[in-house]
Amino acid sequence: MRWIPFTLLILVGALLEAGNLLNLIAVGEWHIRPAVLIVALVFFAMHCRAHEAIIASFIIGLAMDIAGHQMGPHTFSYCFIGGLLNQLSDYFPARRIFHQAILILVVYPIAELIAYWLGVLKTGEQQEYVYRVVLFTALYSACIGPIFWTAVRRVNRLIAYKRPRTERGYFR
Amino acid sequence: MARRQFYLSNGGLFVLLLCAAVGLLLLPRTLTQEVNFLFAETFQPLIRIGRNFQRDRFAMPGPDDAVVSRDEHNRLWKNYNNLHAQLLKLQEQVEILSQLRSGLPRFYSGLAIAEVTGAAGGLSHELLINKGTADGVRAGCYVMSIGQNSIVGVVRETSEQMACVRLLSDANQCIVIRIRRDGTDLDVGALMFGNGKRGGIVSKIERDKDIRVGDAVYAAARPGLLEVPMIIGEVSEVLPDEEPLLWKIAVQLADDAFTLQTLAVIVPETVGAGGL
Repeated sequence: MRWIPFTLLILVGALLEAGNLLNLIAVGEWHIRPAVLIVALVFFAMHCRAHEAIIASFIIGLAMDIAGHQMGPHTFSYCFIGGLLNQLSDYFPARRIFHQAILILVVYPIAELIAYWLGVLKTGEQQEYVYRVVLFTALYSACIGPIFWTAVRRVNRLIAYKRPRTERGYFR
Repeated sequence: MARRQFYLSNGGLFVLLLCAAVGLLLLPRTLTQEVNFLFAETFQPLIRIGRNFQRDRFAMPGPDDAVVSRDEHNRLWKNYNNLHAQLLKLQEQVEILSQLRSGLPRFYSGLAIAEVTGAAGGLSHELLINKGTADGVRAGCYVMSIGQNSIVGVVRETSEQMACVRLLSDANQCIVIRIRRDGTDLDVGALMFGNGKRGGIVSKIERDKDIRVGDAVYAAARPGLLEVPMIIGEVSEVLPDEEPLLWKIAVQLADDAFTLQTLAVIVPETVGAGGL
């Protein structure tokens, strides 16, 4: 994997997460926005080799924390979920849009709730309606996610080294 | 000398990075918040993209010639309530001054106009603004909306150039309030917590208090931070609390701070810095 283009991609994702552009498509009273970096997490966890997937997940989690308001919770949860997802990637197809949406729908709440509870342990601050907000964000992200997935896949052609001799495509 | 090769298995790398994440998690927030502020300061121009469009999106239609629009009505209502609160405060002062002459200096509060950079992220209701300790902003300062004259949040953390404002709707934000009604002497003090949506919840109000929907809710005055009570919203619902003999009151906030581009921080003037 080429790490500099990857880092730039994640930086763009972090800026989207921290910025206002996604507010333009935010919906509802809870201001639900799609999660961008979770798409990158699922994509790289599914497509990279184990070594790269673990490092990539760590970096994505770190980016999420830097773009947020406290360090650690997302780094841990994304690294954990990314590593786990990579090991299970053979069992989950992600070629079709429907499968990608389902993966995002399942992975986002798990990762986000782990991060949330770690944050609560760290600061002692709980939020109202967390489960509903996370559920709606997961649904929204699952709907929008395949669009980001396609974008990440195209950018990934610049990121990944080609390995024509391997049977499993570019990444493994 | 042969270069020593370090090899980490996948499992080893996984555990190592998880430990690093735990290490980050255990670092005190006072240390790590600098990283968050540094990121926001560095990429502030990029993060702010879209803030202008957002306001247009939520903009209400202009006032009609024949009737005052709802927006205008709300603005006037809040201004009226603020003036009324100031009047009451002044009346109190006149009453006190008429009894005895006070030689105490009056506290002075200044305003720091700040641009909203973006949301602080996560599930919390927090905004980043581009004013920090260099402009006198410090934790605990009240933040109000420009033009609407209502309190929308409280400064939570600051760096030199930026500050994080926790909105009144955040579930962890607690604020001392006064509930008042025009034309009556109703003045009930209470604590309000954010409800995690766009309002607040006030509980533990005794049922003998005559609270009604539409009563004005003010941020209570705090010496050095807020000289006179200032409007934050109105009572939108009065329900029986889980505990008997108590009310649970829902408050509708006057402003949707998520859509604001500019805020004003009420900066207390420090002693010896030229206060009036």
